[in-house]
Amino acid sequence: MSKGSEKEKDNLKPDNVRQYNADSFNRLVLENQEKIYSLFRRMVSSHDEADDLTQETFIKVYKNLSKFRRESAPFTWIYRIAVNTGINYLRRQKARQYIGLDSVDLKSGDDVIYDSELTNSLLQKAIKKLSSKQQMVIILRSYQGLPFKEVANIMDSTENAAKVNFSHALKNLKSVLENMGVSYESM
Amino acid sequence: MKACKDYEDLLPLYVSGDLSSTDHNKVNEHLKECKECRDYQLSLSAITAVMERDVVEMSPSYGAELVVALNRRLDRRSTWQKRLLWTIPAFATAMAVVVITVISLIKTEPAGNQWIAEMDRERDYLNFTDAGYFGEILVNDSDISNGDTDLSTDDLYRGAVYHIVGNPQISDVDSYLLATANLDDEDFEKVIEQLKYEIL
Repeated sequence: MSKGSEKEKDNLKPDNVRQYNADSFNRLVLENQEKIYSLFRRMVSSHDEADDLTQETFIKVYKNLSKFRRESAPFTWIYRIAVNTGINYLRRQKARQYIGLDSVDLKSGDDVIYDSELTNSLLQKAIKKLSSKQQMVIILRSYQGLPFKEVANIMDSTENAAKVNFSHALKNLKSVLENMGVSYESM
Repeated sequence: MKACKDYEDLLPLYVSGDLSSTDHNKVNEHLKECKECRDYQLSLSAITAVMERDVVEMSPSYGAELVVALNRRLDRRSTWQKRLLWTIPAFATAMAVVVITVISLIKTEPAGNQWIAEMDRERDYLNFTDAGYFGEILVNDSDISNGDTDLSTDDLYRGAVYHIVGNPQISDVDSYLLATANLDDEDFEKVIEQLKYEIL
């Protein structure tokens, strides 16, 4: 276990878990906010949405502090809450679009940009077309740089399943980008 | 010898540096011979390179602002919880006073019967106008007939399901939606269609 995660675990000693301690909760927020905010910022298109999801995650962390069983590092536990919050957000959004009352049409060809260079904003548009679980595995591994062992812990799967999921996600992402007319020649 | 299709499955992990050294060497050997797979690998490398270069810009004060916002929300929550706890004995006391007053009016004052009859009439009037039997406010006729009377059943279903999935307060929806996280778009659409008619 790394020094960082040992330090994080110290903040959740039984005394602090059973009795709400504002300082330890605040420290937990400060130590993890950057990772959680950047996870959401890569998932949604605005700061406000990412901020809302970050707050929602930490409120859930606060409400469930007493249920934290210390089987994993607090960092992994908080990430898991964030990933579930994120997946649900994406699903709710997609469900609303399928029901047909939101303005975005998932099947429209609005995103087709012929002979375009691969930029991060195009990439983020393409990532949104993957399933929510594939989006998460791509964000956790490629953007956040987490090892597959950690990705598997967070997503409650085996390391092998996380690798297979990532492999499919990256291949799907390449197909989506090709359908959008992205060219790799200038890379 | 492996077919290109098999290498295609290994290439994403080759690019991310997550293959065993044996598999890594096998892929290396294949790439030397196969231009198609080499092009495929270069495309995947280009995609991951953009992702690895990306940096999220954050205000240096974001952490402190977040802590303040969270504490404010948690304080508000605990204030409401405390208020709610105070309302229970207050409500019980108020109810006891009402019951005692009503009983004493029935038993002692003949004029009280008249007062109770008047109260009953008022209650009956309320029940059949804009309040339900348990005090809930019913929708006004004018709200229902506000130009939307030609809504089809499907529109009504869609509106209701849209409201349900869009309301983060209804947490039960989360467990259903989490269960669909692995589905591709086509299967997910089928689930939503089913949900539209079964959830209501």
